[in-house]
Formats: sequence, structure tokens, C-alpha cells
Amino acid sequence: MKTNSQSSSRLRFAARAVVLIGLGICFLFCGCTAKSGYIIAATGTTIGVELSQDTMTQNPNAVLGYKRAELAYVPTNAATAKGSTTTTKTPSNDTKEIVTQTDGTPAYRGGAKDSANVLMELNYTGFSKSGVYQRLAVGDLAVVQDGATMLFAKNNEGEIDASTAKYISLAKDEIKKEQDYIGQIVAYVSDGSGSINPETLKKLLDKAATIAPTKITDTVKKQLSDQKTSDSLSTVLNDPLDPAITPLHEAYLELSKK
Amino acid sequence: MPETIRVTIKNNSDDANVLQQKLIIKGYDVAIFNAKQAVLDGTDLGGHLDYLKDVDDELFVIVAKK
Repeated sequence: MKTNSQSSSRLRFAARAVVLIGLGICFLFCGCTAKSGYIIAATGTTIGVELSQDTMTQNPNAVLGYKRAELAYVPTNAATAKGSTTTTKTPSNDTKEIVTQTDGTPAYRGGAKDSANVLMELNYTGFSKSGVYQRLAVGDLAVVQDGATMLFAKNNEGEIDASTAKYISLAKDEIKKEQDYIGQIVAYVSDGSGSINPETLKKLLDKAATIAPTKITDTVKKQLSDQKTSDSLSTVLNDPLDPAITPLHEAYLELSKK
Repeated sequence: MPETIRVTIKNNSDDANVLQQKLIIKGYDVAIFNAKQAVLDGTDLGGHLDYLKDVDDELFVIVAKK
């Protein structure tokens, strides 16, 4: 009996160890690699739980396993967008690579501005409180569209609370209003061929600075004045200088009355 | 190194939470800190020195990076 008891004790310990090890074998990797002209997004997930049998009670083994791999090959416009690449030094002496598109304008983050959209979700609630909740979004629409917004707002259990949903809704309303304002502002300062009329932009900035001097500061005016095309002005106003949109729109409304 | 860091200070939690979601939608990692006072010093780069304190002694600092 003593031997059996010791054996049982060892087996129970072994069972606990196996459970812990099993839960520990929750290996997850996720990658998103930009190649010339396409993006490869890959994930691999292995989840395993295993229980041993107790010789005293003759309880059976329980084995649960899950394994999957995903691969998304996402074409982009990087190959066609690239015109030339130059390397410059930043003020902190870091090297920065600037990619220019074939039309001479700066490429958006290396030229892969336009890519197909990929949205993936895995929500596995496993043994006890263990589990994996994995989300992946690639592409301009995939990261901002309603489904993706809700997906990334979920907590670790894959749930979204009412207050978060309310804030998301308000945030999306604000972004939509800002997009409308940006369209009006850019149309006002554009010369009609995609370039910015610098005199009109200067008048608009000066007027906006009188309306909101704490927002339209000298540094903000300089950054906006440096934009030479409608696209680049739209990009900067969308992010990171969206706090400047409202005073610029008020200035536009006043100037366009005259 | 992040491409952009944005620091915003709001005087109430609702505005801070809406901004947090807005920045998340725009691709930022966002953290919100509560504090009684805040100092923003951008003078080395041509900015301003600001000392900020709300009447109810609570402000919300939203730090976003991407």
C-alpha cells in the first residue's frame, strides 16, 4: 500500500506537471513581412492540454490539441509606386530612407500604400482560464473599417463593453466630420491640379491663427505650409495635425463668405 | 523608434476615452494616465513650456505612439 500510495502521489504530481506543461505549450507567432510588391502575413498557433491517468482511480487520459497555420499573401502597389529611394540623416543622426513614387511625391511608408485587405480572428477559450485570442488586420481599410475597429476594441476574452462601444461610435463620428472638413479645406487651397496655392494657404493659416492661436502656432503653420500637394496636405491634416482641422475649417468658412 | 508620438491632455475622462478610440482607429498604441498636474516642455524644439492643472485636480494624459 505504501508503494501504491507513493506511486499514486507521484502520478498525481506528474499529472499536474503535465497539465502545466501542456498549458505552457501555447506557442504563438505572428508575422507581417513586407517584400517588394507584396506583404506576407503569417500566423502559427499550437495549443495543447494533456492529463495523465491516476492508477488508483483509473480515470482516463484527456488530451486536447489544436494546431493551425495561416498565410496571407497580400499584393500591394509598392513595386509600381517606387520611383527612387534616397537616404538622409535625421537630426538625431539616424539614417532615414525616403521612397519617392514615380510621380515625384513621397511614397506612403515605403510605397505600399494600396494593399488588399485581410482580417483574421481566432478566439479559443481552453482548459480552465487558458486560451488564445488573436487578431490580425492588414491594409488601409482592414484597420479602420467597422468590423476591425470592434475586433481590436475587444478585451482578452473577446468581449466589448457598452462604454467602449459608445466611445468608438463617437470617435468614428468625429473622424467622419474631420474627413468632410479636410475635403473642404483642401479644395479651398488647391489650385485644381493637385497642387497647393501657397498664397491661399497662407491666408487661411493666418486667419486660423487669429481664431485659435494656441492651436495654429508657428510650428504648426510651418508644417502645413511645407505641404505642396493636396494629397500631402490631406495626409498631414488627417494625422497627426487633426487638432488643427476645426480652426482651419472655421477660417475657411469666414474667408469663403467674402 | 516610433514614427510619431502624440501627447494630449484632456480635462475629463469621456473626452479622453473618445480620443483614445480615435487614435486607436488611426493605428496608434494608446495609454491614458491620470494626474493632478502636467508640464509640457517643447522649448528645445521651438515649442512652448506649459504648466497645466484642472480645477477639479484631475487631468487625463493621453500618450499615443505608432
